[in-house]
Order: sequence, then C-alpha cells, then structure tokens
Amino acid sequence: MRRVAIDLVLFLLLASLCAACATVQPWQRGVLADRRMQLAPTPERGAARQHVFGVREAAQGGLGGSGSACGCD
Amino acid sequence: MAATERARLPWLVALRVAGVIAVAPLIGRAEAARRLHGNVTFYGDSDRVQVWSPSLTGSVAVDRATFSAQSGVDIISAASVDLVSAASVPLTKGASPRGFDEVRKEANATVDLRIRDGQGLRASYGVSLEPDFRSHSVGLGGSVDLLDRHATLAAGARFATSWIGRARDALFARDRQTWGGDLTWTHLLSRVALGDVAYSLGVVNGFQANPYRWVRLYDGDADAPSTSLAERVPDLRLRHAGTVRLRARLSPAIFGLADYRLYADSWGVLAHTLTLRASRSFWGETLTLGAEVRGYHQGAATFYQRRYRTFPLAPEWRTADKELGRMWTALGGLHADFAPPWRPFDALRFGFGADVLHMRYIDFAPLASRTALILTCDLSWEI
Repeated sequence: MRRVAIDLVLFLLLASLCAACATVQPWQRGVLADRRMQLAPTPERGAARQHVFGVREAAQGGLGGSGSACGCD
Repeated sequence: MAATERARLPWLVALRVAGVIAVAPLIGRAEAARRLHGNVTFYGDSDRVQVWSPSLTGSVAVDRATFSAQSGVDIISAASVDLVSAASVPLTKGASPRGFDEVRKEANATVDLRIRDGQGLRASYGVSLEPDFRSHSVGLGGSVDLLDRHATLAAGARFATSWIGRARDALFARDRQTWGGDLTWTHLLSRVALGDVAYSLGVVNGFQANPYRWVRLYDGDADAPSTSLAERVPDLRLRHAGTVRLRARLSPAIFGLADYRLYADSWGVLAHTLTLRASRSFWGETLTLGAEVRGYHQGAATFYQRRYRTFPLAPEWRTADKELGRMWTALGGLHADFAPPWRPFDALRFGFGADVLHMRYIDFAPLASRTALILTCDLSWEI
C-alpha cells in the first residue's frame, strides 16, 4: 500500500511536469543553455560532493552516470 | 591533523592528462577547445576523520568528439570512534589504536561523441586503487533529442569489478561485481525552466561487508559483550533510485534548482533526499554567489540491530555499519564563482565552496552524531 502511494505521487509529479510544458523556439533557448542552469557549478565539484554523500549515506544513484567505485566503507 | 602523506600528483597521471590535451588536435582540425580543471576538496569531521582530495581533469573537443581524462587521490586520516572500537584484531595488533592513514588513487577516461545533431554516445573507463582494494569500471551511454528537441532521453549502463583485501592478512581476498543502468528524461518546460525525471538501478553481487569491522554480541541484557563476530551482510543488493528535478531562472540574475530523490534497496533501506539551491550573479557572470540546503533521511536495513544478541542463535546477518541504521543528515552551504572579465585572465574561472554537514545516527550507540566541514576550491582554464 505504501509503495502504491509512492508510485502514485511520482506519477502525478511527472504528469504535472508534462502538463506545464510549452513550445520553445530554438531562438528562445539561450537561457536554457546557460551554465548556471547546469546541475552543478562545475561537474568536477559535483562529483566530489557526491562522493562524500555516497560514503556517508546508504542511498546512491538517481543522478546519472558515476565514476569508479571505492572501498570507502 | 594526524600524520598524512604529502599530496603529490603521480607523474604518469600528469603525463596522461597532458597527452590528452596535446595529442588530440593531431586527430582533427588544429583548432580544438581545450579545458583544464583542478579541484581540491577537504573533508573534516568531529569524529576525527579528515580527507584531502586533489584532482586534475583535462578535456579537449575535436570535431564531434570530446576526450576527457581525470585523476585524483584521497588522502585519508581516520580515527573514528566506531572504527577504533570495532576494528578487527589484525588491524589493532601492532597498529596504532588511533586509527589509520591511507591513500586512494583514482583515474577516469571518457569519450563523448556527437553522432549528429541531437544524438550522442559516451564511453568511459575508471580505476580505483587502494592498498586493500582495487576496482575497474566501464560505462556506455547515449542520448537522443525528441519532440522537436523539447526533450532529451538519456540512457546508460555500467559495470564494475572489485577486489577486496585486508591489511596484514595476505590470505584474505574477496570480490564483487556491480551492474548499473540509468534513464533520464529532460523536458523543456518553458523558455526559462527545465524538468528532469531520472531512474537508476544498481545490482551489487559479492562481498559487501567491511573486512575490518567486527560485531559485538551480547547475552541477554548483559552490559559487556560475550563475543565478537566478523561483520556479515547479504551478497546481493538491488538498489533503486528515482529523482525529480526542476531547474529555472527566477529572474535575470537569479537561478534556482530543486530536486527530490527516493531510494529503496533490497536490504530494506528507504531514503528521501531533498535539495534546494539558488544562485545570483553580479556584473554579468563575473561573480556568482550561491546557497544550498539539503536534507536526507533513511530507515534502517532489515537486519540492522542496535544490539545483537547471542540467543537463540547468533544472527546470520549482522553489521556494525552506522550508515545502515536509521539516520538523517542536514547540509547548508555557500559557494562563489569568479570569472575575471579582463584579458589575459578571461579564460580562467575560480570557484570556492563551504558546506557544513550534520549527521545524526539514531540507533548507533558508540556515536550519536557528527558534524563535518567540506571545503572545495577549483580552477578552470579554457585553453
């Protein structure tokens, strides 16, 4: 029951994202290409922080590809 | 700071990175976009763990391909209370009871290829080396633009094989394999907003316990443990993670990001992560100041116990890993990026970040909480 509720919340979030979509012409996408719209100020800084979280917390993944593993137990 | 090894970039790694930057133009046109990035991250916490992590990344874009090489080290000095109290006999006999110092070396290489407008491929290889651990990993990925380039679908797969040893125990050797896959859907919501939905699956099979960690067992409610057994956890672990993310320009100079991740695995751990970030730029993009808050909560693994008992039988699965129990973390941080507009410095970009991370362990007797300071400093150079 709990898993069903979680799945439903996720689906509604995804549906609301799609419902909010608009048509954006190519000449209107300058802001979307701005480096400040990226996931991390720099990819290298983001990877270093994710490594800290990966060692200190049980949860991993969900953020895209990752680098090599480590024996950081 | 306890005694640590001096950070020194291996000459072979530096040569490799320089080779990427120097040789690639010979493959394609002489004009090639090249970038060099250096980063130093410091982690220090109240539980006497300190890690220095310098790294260097070089990348060069030639025609439709981008080649990248990265190398780094972790210089670790650790004397955490659970490490010292639960350490196995081979570690403490003859070793300093104050903990250990270790160096981890890592290197990664990536090739990104743009097949045609809106379609790309990626291949990567990584290696991680420690005195008692070795890992090799490979990855493949691709992306394609859809819906008149209003959406991007990206997929990736990775595989890693690891060897686990134990200091002062030449007969100890274990291995594990990790398979993983990712799917990400990015959608243009408006001229100033992007939304992402991502899912990742990880399958880990093999030895996943800590070879230095022993678990204390008690007879009933006795104050002192009656025995200690080596940590033992299931060989198979399936990891699921789903993330929903929103990125938007809130005003001409202010950008924001919000993301939520749900994680669940076959060991019974369920975790929630919420991140909020905002940044503001001054004088164009010359100076960008940002702030971030992050909250994390996880439940315990099904076999995790605050106190293991010997009756009726010693438990098959047992762990002294506090990161498998109930816990939460809270992070607050600030960062600054400076891009000089004056020649010849306009190809440089400086970054500095400071985060405070508080970790609270709800079911771990030796350590209730700890607080860490994470400092990052980086420099990028577009050559």
